[in-house]
Amino acid sequence: MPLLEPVLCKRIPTAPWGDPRDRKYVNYEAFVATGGYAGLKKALAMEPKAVIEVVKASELRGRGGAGFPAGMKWSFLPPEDGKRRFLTVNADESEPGTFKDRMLLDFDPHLMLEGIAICMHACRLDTAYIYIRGEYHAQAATLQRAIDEAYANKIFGAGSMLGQINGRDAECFMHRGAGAYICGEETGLLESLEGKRGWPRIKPPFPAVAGAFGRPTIINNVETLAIVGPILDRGADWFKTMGKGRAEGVPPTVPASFGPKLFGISGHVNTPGVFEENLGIKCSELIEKYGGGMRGGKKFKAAIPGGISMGVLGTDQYHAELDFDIGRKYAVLGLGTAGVVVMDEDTDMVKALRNMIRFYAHESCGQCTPCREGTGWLSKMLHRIEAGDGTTRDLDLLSEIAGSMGAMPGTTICGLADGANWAVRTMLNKFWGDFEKRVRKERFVSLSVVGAR
Amino acid sequence: MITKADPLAQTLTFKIDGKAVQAPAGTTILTALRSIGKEVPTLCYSDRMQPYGACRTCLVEVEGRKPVASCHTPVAADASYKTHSPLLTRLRKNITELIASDHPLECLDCTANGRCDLQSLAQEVGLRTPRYENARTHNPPKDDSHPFIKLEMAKCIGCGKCARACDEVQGSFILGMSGRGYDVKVIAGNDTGFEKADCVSCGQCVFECPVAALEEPGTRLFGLPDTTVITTCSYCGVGCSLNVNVKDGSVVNIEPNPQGSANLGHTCVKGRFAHQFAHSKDRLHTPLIKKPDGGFREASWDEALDLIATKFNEIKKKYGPAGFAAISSSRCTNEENYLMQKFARVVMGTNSIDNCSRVCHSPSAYALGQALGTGAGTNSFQDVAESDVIMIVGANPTEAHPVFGARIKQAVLKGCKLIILDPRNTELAKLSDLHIPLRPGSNVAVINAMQHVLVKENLIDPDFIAKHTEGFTQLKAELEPCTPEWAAEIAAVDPDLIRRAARLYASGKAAQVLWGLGVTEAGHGSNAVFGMINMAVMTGNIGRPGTGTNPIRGQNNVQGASDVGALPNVFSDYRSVTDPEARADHRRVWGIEPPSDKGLRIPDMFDAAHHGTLKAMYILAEDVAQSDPNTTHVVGALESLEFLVVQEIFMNETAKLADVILPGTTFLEKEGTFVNSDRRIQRVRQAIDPRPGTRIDGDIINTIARRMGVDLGVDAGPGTPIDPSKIMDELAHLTPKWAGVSYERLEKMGFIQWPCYDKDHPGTEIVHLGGETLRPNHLAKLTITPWQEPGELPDKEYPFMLTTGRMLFHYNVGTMTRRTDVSKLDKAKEETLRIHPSDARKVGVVNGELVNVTSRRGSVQVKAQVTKATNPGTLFMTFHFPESRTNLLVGSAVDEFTGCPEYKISAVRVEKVTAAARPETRDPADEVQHAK
Repeated sequence: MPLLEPVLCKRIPTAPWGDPRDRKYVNYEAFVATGGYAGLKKALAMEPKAVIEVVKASELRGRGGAGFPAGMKWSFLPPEDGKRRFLTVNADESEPGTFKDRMLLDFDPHLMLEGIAICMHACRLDTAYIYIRGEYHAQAATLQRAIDEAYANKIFGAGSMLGQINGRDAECFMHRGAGAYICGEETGLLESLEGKRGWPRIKPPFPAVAGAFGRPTIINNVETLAIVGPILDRGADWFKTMGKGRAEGVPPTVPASFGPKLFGISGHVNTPGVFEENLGIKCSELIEKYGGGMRGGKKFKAAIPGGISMGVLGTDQYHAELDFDIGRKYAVLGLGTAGVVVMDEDTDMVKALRNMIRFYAHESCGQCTPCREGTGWLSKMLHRIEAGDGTTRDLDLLSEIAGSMGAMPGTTICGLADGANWAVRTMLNKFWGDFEKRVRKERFVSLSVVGAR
Repeated sequence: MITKADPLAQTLTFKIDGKAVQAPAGTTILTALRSIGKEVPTLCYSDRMQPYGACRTCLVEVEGRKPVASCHTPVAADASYKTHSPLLTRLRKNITELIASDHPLECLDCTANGRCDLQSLAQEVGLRTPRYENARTHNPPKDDSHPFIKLEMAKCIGCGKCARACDEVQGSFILGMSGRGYDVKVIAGNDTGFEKADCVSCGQCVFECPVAALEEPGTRLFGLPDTTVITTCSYCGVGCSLNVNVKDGSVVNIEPNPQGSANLGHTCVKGRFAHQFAHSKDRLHTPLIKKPDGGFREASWDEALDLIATKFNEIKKKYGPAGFAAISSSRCTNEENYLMQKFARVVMGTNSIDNCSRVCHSPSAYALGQALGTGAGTNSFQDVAESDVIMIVGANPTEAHPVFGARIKQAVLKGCKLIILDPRNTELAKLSDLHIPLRPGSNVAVINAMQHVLVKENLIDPDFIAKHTEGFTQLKAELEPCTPEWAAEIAAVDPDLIRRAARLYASGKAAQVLWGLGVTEAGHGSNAVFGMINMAVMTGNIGRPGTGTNPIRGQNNVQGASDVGALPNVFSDYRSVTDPEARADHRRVWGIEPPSDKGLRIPDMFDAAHHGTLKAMYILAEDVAQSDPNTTHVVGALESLEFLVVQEIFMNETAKLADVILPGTTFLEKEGTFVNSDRRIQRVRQAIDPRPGTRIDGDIINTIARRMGVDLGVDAGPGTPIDPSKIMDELAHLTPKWAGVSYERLEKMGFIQWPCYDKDHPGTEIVHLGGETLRPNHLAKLTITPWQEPGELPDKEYPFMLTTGRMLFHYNVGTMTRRTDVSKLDKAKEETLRIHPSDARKVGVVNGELVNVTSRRGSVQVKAQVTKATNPGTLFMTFHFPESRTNLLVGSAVDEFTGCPEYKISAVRVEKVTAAARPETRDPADEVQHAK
């Protein structure tokens, strides 16, 4: 069943409910006039713990990529000790193929600010830092405008409706990144926020215990916080009417896929963009209904489910359901950010993979040896294979390096290398033929133009 | 990483390679597996730093989970870990192969060959040639700009140990990682190279580098050393334990000893790199006897020793014991100091024996002894990590005691509050929470006012005062008029600053006071020390971890020289020469009645020489003619002597005045012990043979005694070398607080902190535990400390206050450091007068101009260095450079209790040198030749 009404896109005209050309910035007045900050008002009338219980009951899972249950994250904080505690909002949206948060920041930033205020109240956090991607210049200006409006209307600041938290006024600041993918990793983000080099931290301690400036810190994605307001306004049960829900026979202790989700579609489709749909929508449905079908009537070859770090769906996985179970069912890493990149039958997979790995080699922070050296070598070898100078042994080597780098085999601190790992391994597994052809010294004409070299 | 175990942590049980192991929660897997003798390879882990978790070679398998890095993952209850398995070897091999693919495999050309962590790892995992068939893309240029730290980025494996050592051990933040991913590299400063970065050259980065991306050029010439000798550094009072690497009888290089208890594997530029003096061509290599024309002639040892024996006997006969005095050396070992005082007392029959602590920390020893019952610091270096407030008065540890300074810096960076009382804007002052830039000579006033605030605002600990102190009521009355306003007037600071400092000090749960020569070499130094002890005692900050009153001793063995009795008024253990029990002990052991005269202190010796009562002196390794104040007076005294023996390693100003010069040896050439600033007795071991023609100092003293017909009982018979362990046994026998010290125990334990009362006593980390002092009645004495004006104040004619001190790269009069590679550093080349910009404008000088600095006693020429590191009105010079003769300017006012001179306060004027008055060349006699 498709989504009955837009939730995240309530004020952002999006097909099928509106025309994207009508989109404009929703200011404070317009936001409140359409029911904005109602969730916050309800939350403020409740005990902080009760707010967390609502979020827990909604079974909201983080929208930043890992899908960690948000309510559970909020309850990990140690007991209050009267000292500072922070919220950091991860708006460092730099995963290739992902542009959903940008839309929220561009047009309806108050939706996120409402979630921020609710989270600060619920978790007793006195200061929020919104870490926004450095390249989001226009979005930063819009966001600052919204923050200023929120301050003017006593959402934050002295005498705000949040009152005193940890003995201080509730504050919300925007912090702009400087253009590094690694700063989207939560602890790299914290380091960068503290003014240091954005190198991920070893864990434990986890941010909930010692995060920003050594204090307990919650880190949430923009979209996760944006949905919190509506949940508080309309209740957890309403939220759970949307999405794929829990399959029969699955115990309630296992996190499921509830609620609406923003899907970004790009690549070889007719109408790329961000759309809101229930979790669990089929990839094919997303392409055909929202993406306007394959560009030029070509055949589907592959799709990346959510940011290139998730690996690829093969040609036979066209009907894959886009929910948090996708990893287990379709041999990819996960749903990720749900930024779907579609590739048609002409796509040169060697070129595509080379372009992906070039990104990781460029963005690896250089801290852990396997990732620093590994992404470098992967990139060099793929360039070689693409140029027709590769050997079969190179393919084995690719697979071997990729398979032994990442937080999952335990050889890196953060998950950046896992992205490269899954990209390489799913590509090789699902499109082995394409790669084999290129190392066999046969004449090969590539029809694709993929990225920069 | 060095952290104290949390005593409350729960004990967890888990398995490593099938073996059940227990460890407290929070222990890392690496620590746990090492505790049972297992090992995993590591490239980025160091005991001295926080875990980093980046090389990933320390992976261990966890049953039922993915592998984890053992260096930073805490152990989990009931987990089962595997340190070696096919999976782990595959992952490790993979990592090694990746690193090796971008590392020059030119092992034969590498100084790390044979001790390279990457090489060992490659062998362990069975890696041969990496399979990645691409030319190496990284080949950045070398950074050769530093004279003894070379950076070759092509070899770098990106473990970040050097940069972290710079941050976490030294605290200089010079090295950093720059670039991303494959292009990560180590940079110095803002990628300006070492030369332009503000590097303190401690060499820790070189020590930590697991390959040879950072190397010392010295090692390139030698290959691997054939022996490594663990000894104790002979520069400042920190007492760093050093690994001296020796090949073919020469020192290859010196590295920190990772097990060193005082330095925890760290050193400073001097201990690490300034060792070439031992091999210097300038070393004295034969005894010299003065010719009638004033020059020296070379003489045989026999001739020189016979001459000395005859002369000393003659003088003793002619003038009695009062005709002789000896100055012992805090640079020499405890055994040699003990021998020297025994020589003065037994052979010459006089108590006129003193050592250079007279001119540095004698007020500390005196005041601590009076107020708390023992003349040494109360706590240990490691306590700074447990203090939450540290107050530093008149000390610049980051330059004068760099390893301890770095430790303080780390504590402050981790949140410890820091109060600085110093007229200079030192590195630590910049980091401090509160800096009182008091005028030189106003220490006592400011400390009194701080006590006043403590009492007035009731920031004291009445229970502690009632239980553990005496004299509070009297002190309280005396402090009444010492308001912050009164002190502020004297010190030229804001009275509020004094109030805030007192409050901050009292706010600490564990507050510690540290001080240096800025307190003791400032006239009325004893009173300042008494005042700081009062503060600690009143607030109950004594006898607990992180608290206490601790002088930072300036020289390697200045503590020990005093401990073993090289002082006129006391035997070893500070037992008075008039104490009947001590006299009886010494009578029994020495077999003679110990002398009962009132011995001369160093300044008294010079006065006595001028008066003609003192006729002969024996000076062991101290350049009094350069380092003591009022140089003209000292030189006059030495010239008026009938017979002067100087035992030295280099020709110096004092030796030039001697009748006989005996060539002694350096710490690298002898056996013995030193006592560092926190009462740590550590072994000094012979690393190289004495240079041809030189003799070990203790042997020389013993031989003179032998030739004078006295057996000091420290050798195996005439003509045999002394046995230092035998001397230590005698010393321990006569010294109740050292009774448990022996070479055997030192070998086993590495160090012993005195008091150590018997052979089973573990030594004492914190003295006066629980507030019970070592005084006979176990109470701390609160002492009244009236403020008096310093010996000299600025006036119209001499408007500036000159204070003196050390710089990082040199040590005292520079005899040693100026003959080493360290003097190649730009920052270490010449003396300057540090002057505040506003003063410079008044005088009309600009940076680098030559000025005349004139005091009532003399005038010297020096280049001006305009800097905000000193306050307006205060000037600073070091005393490292013989040609600048800083001590010519210093007056001879002394502390009323101990005779410690007032080096830190001299009124001077500064004038620009006009072109006409500029000397054409320097006096060649003053030029020190540098070792090639």
